[in-house]
Amino acid sequence: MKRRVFIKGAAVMTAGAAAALNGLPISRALAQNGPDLAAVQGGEPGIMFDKAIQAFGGMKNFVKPNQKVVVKPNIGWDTPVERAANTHPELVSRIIKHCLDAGAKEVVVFDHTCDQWKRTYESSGIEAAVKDAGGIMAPGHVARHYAEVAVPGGKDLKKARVHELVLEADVFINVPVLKHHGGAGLTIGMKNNMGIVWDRGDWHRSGLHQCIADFSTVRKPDLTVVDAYRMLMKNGPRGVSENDTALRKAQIISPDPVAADAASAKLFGIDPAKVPYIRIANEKGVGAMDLSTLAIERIRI
Amino acid sequence: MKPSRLFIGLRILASTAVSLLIILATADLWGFLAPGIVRVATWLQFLPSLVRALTAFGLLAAGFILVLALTLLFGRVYCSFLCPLGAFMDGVIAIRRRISKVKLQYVKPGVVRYFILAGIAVSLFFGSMHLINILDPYSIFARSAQALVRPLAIGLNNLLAQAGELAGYYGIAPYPFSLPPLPVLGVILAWLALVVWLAAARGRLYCNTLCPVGAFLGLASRFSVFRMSMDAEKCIQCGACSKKCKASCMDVENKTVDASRCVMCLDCLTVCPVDAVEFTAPSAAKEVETDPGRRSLLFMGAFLLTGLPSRSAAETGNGYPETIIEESLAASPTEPLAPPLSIKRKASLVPPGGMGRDHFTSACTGCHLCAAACPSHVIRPELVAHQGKGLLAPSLSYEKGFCNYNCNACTMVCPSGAILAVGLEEKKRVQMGRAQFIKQNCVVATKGTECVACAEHCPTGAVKIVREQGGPGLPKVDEDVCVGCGACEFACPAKPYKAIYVKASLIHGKALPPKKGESVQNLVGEDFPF
Repeated sequence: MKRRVFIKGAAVMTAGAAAALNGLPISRALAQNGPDLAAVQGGEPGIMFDKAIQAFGGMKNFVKPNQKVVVKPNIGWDTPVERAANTHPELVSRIIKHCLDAGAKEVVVFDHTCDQWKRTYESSGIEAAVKDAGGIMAPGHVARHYAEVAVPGGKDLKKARVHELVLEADVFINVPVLKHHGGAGLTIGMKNNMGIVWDRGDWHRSGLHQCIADFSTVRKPDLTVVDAYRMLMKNGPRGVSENDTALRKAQIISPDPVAADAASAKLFGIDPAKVPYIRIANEKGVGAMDLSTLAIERIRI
Repeated sequence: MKPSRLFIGLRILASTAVSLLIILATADLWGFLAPGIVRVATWLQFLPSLVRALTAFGLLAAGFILVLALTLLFGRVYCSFLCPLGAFMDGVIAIRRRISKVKLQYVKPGVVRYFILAGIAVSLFFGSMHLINILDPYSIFARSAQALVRPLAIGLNNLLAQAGELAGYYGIAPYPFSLPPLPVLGVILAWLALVVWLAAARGRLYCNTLCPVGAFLGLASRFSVFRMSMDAEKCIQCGACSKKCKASCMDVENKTVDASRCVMCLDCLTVCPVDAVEFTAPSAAKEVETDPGRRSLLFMGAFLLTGLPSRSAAETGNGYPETIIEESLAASPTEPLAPPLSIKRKASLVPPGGMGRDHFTSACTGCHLCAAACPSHVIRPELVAHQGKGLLAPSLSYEKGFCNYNCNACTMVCPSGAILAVGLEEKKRVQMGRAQFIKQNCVVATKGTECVACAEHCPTGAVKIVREQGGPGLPKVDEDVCVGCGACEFACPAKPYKAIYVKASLIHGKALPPKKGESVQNLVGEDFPF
């Protein structure tokens, strides 16, 4: 397998290369008249994903044989599944299975964690689930794995160091967990992208919302799968105890990252227009925040 | 085969096993070695075990009693069978012998070792561990392995990781490379050079001059039941034993063996052409040194007792220091912000289970096993970090990480009781320090943008975001709930100075449990809101 070798350190990818990334032909050929967004509720994470991806004509519309896929869950915290601070492992494992069934060459999973990465991979249950499903668990804590890319559409964020696995991937599937966030209001898909970036301290320093929205123009996920099986309703993004969580048994999936975040915000009970990064990303034309303009498939199990 | 050969084999096996276990404990990047396995090697280490007995109690402290009992029976078997530095020196001596002939010979007993013991007793009386920490053979060995072998292991691991990545295999994760701070590395290298030089030139001279364990066990071995002796009738004074003896204790002229310096390597038994050297229980008639024996018994007792004052000194710490930053918190939001404030830490952070500066520094021998065990790389070896106390005792640094809330790895490996074992639930309440917020450094206060990195990382909910009239959220610290893990300090993006940092508690407190709050209602079955 070939692996792109990045020039270490200050190497800045040219605007041209970044533009190429930006304009990557989205590898999916949506089933004609497929929905813009699917929302499922009432089942376990795996079953819900089966139904949701079916609404889009199956994973084969997103993943072609021999493609390299990156699945990026939220694995930020050294907490168990019941605390709902990380993406549900069952969902991650089901997505991997669908990708492999669609003929993916490899499915790699990683996160640039907040807590100590090894413990986080373990206690979230995601490492075991990934290995079980035949995916590859990759480290996200190594600085040299991140290459600098320009953010041509960025207002406050002009460049960011992005994990090379994402830059090399044919298909990028973002799998956030929907939860409360003390600063961003909510953490959903676009916020989850902070886990593919090395120098996120810059984002906190220069303004979280603008940077999240700026970065959403760089590498749009081909699919966003929002895990709302159990939602962290307060004390987010880490949570203090199980008391902070509510069982919701829902899932939202969409190729439009802004639509996915907007629908999730509504599910959480917050007007998406009041979450600044969703509003800014909408204004930038990254995707559609107004759900009334979208074709939504609602599935109840 | 002579039975002595069998025992020499056993000696090499035991000392190699102990040394390897300690090296593996420092180079175990992946957490393969259970703490219990490492303990097999460390609980028999005489000095840490003795320190543990004097500062804490329990079964783990009993290792030194076993070593003492063995010494009273068989002499200084610790020095050749259990001491990792002794094994290392034996290795150096063996290599030196291969290179060229070393002229070892009998040397009259010196008194340096007793001055060292006296010096330690005096310094312990004043509550200082400095002399012990610099001289203890186990600690020298362990920290040298931590400083030198571990980086090698990391380098090897990272090469393998890189090779794996090229083949698309991510099973080996790269590991952050780190060396101890330069002053620590300097001390370690200097002492290692001294040990190697002494061993190469004079055998086990270190053990009989500078080593406090050697000196102390030497006093005990004067009373040992079994010991080396020369059969005056058989001995032909050929000097073979004296040339072989690493401890320079075979006096062929007078046909006696200085038991206080004999490290029980048993080599002499194999070289005597007439089998005059024997390991036996000497008859009372052969015993000559009665007077020095009595003196040394008194000395031993005095030495054991001197450890106690240091314990009581540890309990007289001056409570929690005054907070100095509070005023800036109280400043009203309308007042203009003062210029950025640099963080001046008065005291260094002590790992959980260390109970605070005084206990920690009075029991730490500077072996740095805790630093090797810390998966978050926040325990950093230091030369003198704790206000002049605790030479080579590590401290916590939150520059490159923070103390993982859900982890008590360091508390499971400390052999000397400086870091006492604390269960995971108990550890989550240990308050190593308290977070302090400096508003004038905070990006939210200076720029008006959202940040919340500190509150986001806080595992206990001690750092909360408070908003006034819908403005951007500023952190507020509930110091009683704070455990001092440093997650907020590490995450704080403010430059040049952090806006939140952990002030060390001189004596560790017990944090209040995280406030759980009301349980949230489940929402299963509600309709889609869109």
